[in-house]
Amino acid sequence: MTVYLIATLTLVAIAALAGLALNLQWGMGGLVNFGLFGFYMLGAYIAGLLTVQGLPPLVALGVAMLGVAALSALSALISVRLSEDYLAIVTLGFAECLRLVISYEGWLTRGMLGVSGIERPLQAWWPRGWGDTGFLLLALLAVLIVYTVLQALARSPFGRLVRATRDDPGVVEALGKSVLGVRVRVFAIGGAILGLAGSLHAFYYSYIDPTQFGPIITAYAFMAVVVGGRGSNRGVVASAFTLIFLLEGSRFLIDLVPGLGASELAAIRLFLVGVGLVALLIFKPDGFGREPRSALADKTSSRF
Amino acid sequence: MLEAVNVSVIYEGGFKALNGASVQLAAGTVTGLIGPNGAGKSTLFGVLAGAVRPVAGEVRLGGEIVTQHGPAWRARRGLARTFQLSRELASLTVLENVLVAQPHMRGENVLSLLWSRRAVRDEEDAAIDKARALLQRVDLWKLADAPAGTLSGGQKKLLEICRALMLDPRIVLMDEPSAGVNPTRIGEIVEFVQALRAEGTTFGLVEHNMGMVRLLCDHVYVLAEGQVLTEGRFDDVIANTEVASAYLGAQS
Repeated sequence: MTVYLIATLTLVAIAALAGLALNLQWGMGGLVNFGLFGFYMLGAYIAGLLTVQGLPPLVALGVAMLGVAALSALSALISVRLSEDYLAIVTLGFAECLRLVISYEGWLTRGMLGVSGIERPLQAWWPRGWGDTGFLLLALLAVLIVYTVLQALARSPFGRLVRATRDDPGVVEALGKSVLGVRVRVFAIGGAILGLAGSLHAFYYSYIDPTQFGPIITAYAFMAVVVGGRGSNRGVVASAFTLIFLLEGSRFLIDLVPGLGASELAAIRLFLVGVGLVALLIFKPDGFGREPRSALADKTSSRF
Repeated sequence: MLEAVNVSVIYEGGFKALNGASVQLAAGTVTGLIGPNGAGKSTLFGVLAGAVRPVAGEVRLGGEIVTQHGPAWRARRGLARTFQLSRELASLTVLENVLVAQPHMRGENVLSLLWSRRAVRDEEDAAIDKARALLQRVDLWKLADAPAGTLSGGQKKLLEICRALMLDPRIVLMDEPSAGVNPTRIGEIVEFVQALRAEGTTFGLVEHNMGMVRLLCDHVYVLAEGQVLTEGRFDDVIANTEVASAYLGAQS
């Protein structure tokens, strides 16, 4: 049971990172990144391939973060004139292209065979048998750092500007600020976090192949942000936790409900998640969390 | 000084909104644009602010040709504007709406947030003081922490004016500032504008409230069908029979 709990919590941490990245890009910035899974996949592949080449895993992780950040920034530059729906289409197309390249450029990525034997960072630190726990601690630390940084950004003048471009980019232009500059930075920071999440995915499973990555990763991240409340980092972490535990925990329904087969259960689980989401959108359309403020009239809480 | 010289604008579908219109906003004055609906006032405003690009003619800001520069570029050179239909940043608070306009904020740079936190905080505190002074003038400070989307139509107009003034602009373009504003508040806007004009700020005003135009404007342009029909002091212009038929006649 403990093993299962540790495994699930590790998945929660990775999902929380993806959710936090999307919360910056879409929740705060209004940029619909349907290609999230492509950036996540790229992070996993950069980290995985570099690690099996013999690079220290933490260095590979750093390269993955920078690489995904750079490519994210580039994709934001390309889609500068695109607003909501079109940006969604472009990012989705971008991610699918990336997946095709990774699937078929076998000389570089080992194609459909996948990359195996990816070593985890800092494995020598933990006593024998505690590797999974150690990795979980590392993943939780990553979530904590990213959460702290994003909270500080959200309360800062930068966060205010990001939310302003979401509400009305035309006004931000009329105030003399560069909307493109804001969007590129938001995509780059979100990309770095997605690179981190993808790297942890690669380290955790120690094996990656293209079938592990698909739009469902994007869908879960959007669910986390919708449930958590757009703009609320705290809400996103909490809802990533809830979502993964619901998805994972509902496996045990098979023990509780007699006559339920594995395939039926799989379908019912997804069905329940869908019902839950629709109910939430009806009864609490803004989600549970609240967006942080950059400044308050009494000045006491305008700290970041 | 801001001027448009012989500007023409053709919208998609071929509608000619402006047809060789020229206006001048002399430094330190309030210039009014009046005319019937559809005369091209707001389009001309967009051309002056940089939001609408003319197919012919040019725009000069302080003598420099700025026709090809967009609204952000012009805003950085001291040109602020408000919108005909309020465009408040709905999910931001009233205070944040004004703060976001503050120019040169190091806190908007991600690296400065890391390396010069103290400078960022000092700038933020100074910006809050400046925003408070503006909001108190229009009696919005008591709503500082309310989301701007919850304000009334008139309050949103006042908020937009505060936001524009946060830029410390040399020139302010106001598109129907009195629309939807409580009559007592209109007096406040008039006083506000007069005080700033006395300090040297230049204003351009599109307005349907003739009382406000009479009180505020040093110079008035009358537009009709995309062209300047006539110009001059308000009382002289209004005495012109052509104007009466083009504009006032249309109202009575």
